[in-house]
Amino acid sequence: LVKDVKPGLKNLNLIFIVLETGRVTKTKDGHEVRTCKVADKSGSINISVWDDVGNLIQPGDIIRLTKGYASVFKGCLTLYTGRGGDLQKIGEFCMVYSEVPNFSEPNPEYVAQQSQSKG
Amino acid sequence: QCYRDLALVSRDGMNIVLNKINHILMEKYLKLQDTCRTQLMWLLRELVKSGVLGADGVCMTFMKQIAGGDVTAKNIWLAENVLEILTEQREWVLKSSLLIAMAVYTYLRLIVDHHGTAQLQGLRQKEVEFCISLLRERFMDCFMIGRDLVRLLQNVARIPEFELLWKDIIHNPQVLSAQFTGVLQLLQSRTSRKFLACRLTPDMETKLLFMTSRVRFGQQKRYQDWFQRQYLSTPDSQSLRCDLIRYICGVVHPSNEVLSSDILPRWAIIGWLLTTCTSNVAASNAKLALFYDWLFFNPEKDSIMNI
Repeated sequence: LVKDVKPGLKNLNLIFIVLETGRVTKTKDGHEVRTCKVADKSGSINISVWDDVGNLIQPGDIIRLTKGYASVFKGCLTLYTGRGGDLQKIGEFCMVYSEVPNFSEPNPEYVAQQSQSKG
Repeated sequence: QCYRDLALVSRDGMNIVLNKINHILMEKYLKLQDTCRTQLMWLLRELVKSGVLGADGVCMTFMKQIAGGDVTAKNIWLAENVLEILTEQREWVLKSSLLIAMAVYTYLRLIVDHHGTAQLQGLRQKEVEFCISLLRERFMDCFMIGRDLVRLLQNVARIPEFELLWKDIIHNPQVLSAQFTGVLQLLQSRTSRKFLACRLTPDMETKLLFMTSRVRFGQQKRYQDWFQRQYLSTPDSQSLRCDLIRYICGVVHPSNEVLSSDILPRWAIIGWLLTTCTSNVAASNAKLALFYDWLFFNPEKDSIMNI
């Protein structure tokens, strides 16, 4: 479940519903990244999606993530699709969710951890 | 060729085939590619021409896929093609009272959407002729629809052919059928759920039922936005609100358990449908739709859950 996601975890398999899709930003190496807010009954979290997949995802889509991982980006816990994993749309609309707690809210603990591991 | 083989081999009156077709139509229609849809339509025509028992059921399932308030090419294609089969195979249609009633309910409702372009006007004219002929030839089969027939007829009353029909309904009901005593008789008859439901596509039903059974009050905003974006975002689509409201009043009857929980109540959904309407005409039709059962409530025959 979303609430069980912690930084550094890998091989994550989750099912969630997409609440919002953010704007596209371009990365230095020419890719497009989009941040989407997704949720299940335990809470919500942000996921970063690259290129085509990002353009295809719509709010309301129910998606299964396989082999995902989580890490902290700019102080916020974020989900990603890992190598060998993917995002599959398995339905739409018919999933109950809770928007709170939002596990991607900036977390001072995570920021501290990051600075510690860098220092 | 394949069809002929299939018909020869079948031992169950094509029952399995029919069930499979209905299943595909109900569950997967939205995902089907155009060529597949064309094939299915062809198959339906063959089934009807062969007089296969149960083809009327497939016909009704197909009609259910025609979305109200939707004038995109694919939806219009569907409306046109089903109508063509029904018109061509009129003799066959006349054998099934239920099919007559469902077809009239469907196309009377769709007439409202079909205006503006030459193509739509053309379609409307065919639909008008189709409905009028069934109403005049088999009025008592159409009577089966109940009070919503009056509601639908009111919405098309300005069309000349219907204006004439209304004159007969009001002043000369016996012309239509010896058993028809007048509008009041029709208004006192409750409309069965199957008619109220037939004007919602399976996907619309799934989503509305989900909202009224699983979503908690206070949590509905995103679901409403998504539903609205998919089905209620164009000016043409406002007419759908009436169908949705009739469905919620007449088909969605939550159990006591759900009623006493914090699940999204029906009045909240209806409030949303009424307040987000962007057309005055559609809004007033929708409000009438809400009160329809209340206006003619008969404790012996009607369900309090409708009001």
